[in-house]
Amino acid sequence: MRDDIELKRALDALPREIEPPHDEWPAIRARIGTRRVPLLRIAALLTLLAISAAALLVARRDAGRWLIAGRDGERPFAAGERVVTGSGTARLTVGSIGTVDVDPQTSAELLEASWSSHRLALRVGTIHARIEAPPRLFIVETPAGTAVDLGCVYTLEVDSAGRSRIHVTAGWVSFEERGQSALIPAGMRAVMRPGGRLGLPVRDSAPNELLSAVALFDSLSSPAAIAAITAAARREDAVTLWHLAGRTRGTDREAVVDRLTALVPPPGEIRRQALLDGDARAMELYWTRLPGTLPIIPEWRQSLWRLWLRVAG
Amino acid sequence: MEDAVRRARAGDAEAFEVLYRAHAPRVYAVCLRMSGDAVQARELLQDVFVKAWEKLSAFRGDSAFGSWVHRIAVNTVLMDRRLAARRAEDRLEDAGGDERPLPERAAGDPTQAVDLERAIAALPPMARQVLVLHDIEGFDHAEVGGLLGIAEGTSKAHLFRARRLLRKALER
Repeated sequence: MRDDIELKRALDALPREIEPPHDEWPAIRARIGTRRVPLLRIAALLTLLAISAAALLVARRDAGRWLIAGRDGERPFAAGERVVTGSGTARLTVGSIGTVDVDPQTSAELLEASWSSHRLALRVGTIHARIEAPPRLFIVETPAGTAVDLGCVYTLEVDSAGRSRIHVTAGWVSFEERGQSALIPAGMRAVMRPGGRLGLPVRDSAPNELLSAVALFDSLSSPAAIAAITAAARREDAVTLWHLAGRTRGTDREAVVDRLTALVPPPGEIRRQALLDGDARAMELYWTRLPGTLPIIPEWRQSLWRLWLRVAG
Repeated sequence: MEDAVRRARAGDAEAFEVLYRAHAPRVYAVCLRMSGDAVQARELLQDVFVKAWEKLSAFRGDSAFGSWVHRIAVNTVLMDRRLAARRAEDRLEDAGGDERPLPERAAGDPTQAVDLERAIAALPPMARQVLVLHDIEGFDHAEVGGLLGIAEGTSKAHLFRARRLLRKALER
């Protein structure tokens, strides 16, 4: 081989392929595993997770941020701050879940503002809340008890004596005090008094006789008031009777339950005695049959309770 | 073959075996000539196809699969050679002797091609890599320089030296 040309020819003549002396595929197969997870997919997934986490952090931060808008424009409103409107009004933005309009002559304090809980104390005056959020996220404390938002629009007024008047126009509110509660669906109102005396919810369209009787019961809880309520209640007032049943005893309760079941027959598995005994499961299941109510409990739990009542009965 | 590539990209190992069977001889030839060692060449062959499997999602099909895996083979061998070059043995080989001891002629292998393969295998590493890349794989000096991280002129010098050593070896 004397020169480069001869060498080049020899190199060009070399085969471009050489069969491996051994089959390397089994070793390769063992090294690559059973399934390849594309790196791009992993990267995309990690990116998506990172973006989601960042979005969640931002959402959580914004979800706990309140704003107040009034004469002086809009500014952040932090826990511990008060709003006292005097002759003016104000609008509070409740994180990302809704708004609270504050009427004149109102005093309120923001107790807690976080993505998981919003708590306002209404000392005196009137607020109009419009909340779109999961239940129990927005709470207003008053001298007469606590209004727990269950996803709704409502007006809450506290007078100088500490009485709280609530009027629900959408969704429903649970008014709670000392372990008791009143469920107030849309189209109903109630008056709560300091000292753990929760008023009966009454429908906006209730006849005057019923309104007077409820006002009397809220003040005195007399047998005459109970009799007047059972006499004046219509089918649409079943919610009022349902609450009344829970606050009466003995023959008074019998009269209320009989009137209620006459107006709205309970589900077949609920026995009269369970209602007279104040059985919580029976009462909550009955609630779902009443006009204008929303389910207190999820459907799957209702099904379980129906089954339990059938077995127990 | 396109179907095999598509299925392999989706994670089908059996389809990837089809690709391996089709391209292993070409890849093995590169690995063997550039490493100059049959045992290393087998390991490199495995490494190349494992890397190809891991990078399949990045293969867009703009080029043929064979060209793509060939490029992986060249890079894999060069990476392996760089690691090997850190060893004293390689440094001594490149700095000192003009050539490795020529392997014994195998009985029954009297052809010129076999002599040439043996002579290539015996070249010093850098000279061998430049010769294989330039004279066999068809890269120009600029490309060879880029791949090996050397100047174009240095590539030419190594090629000159490789050819001289080859001629000398084959004249024995």
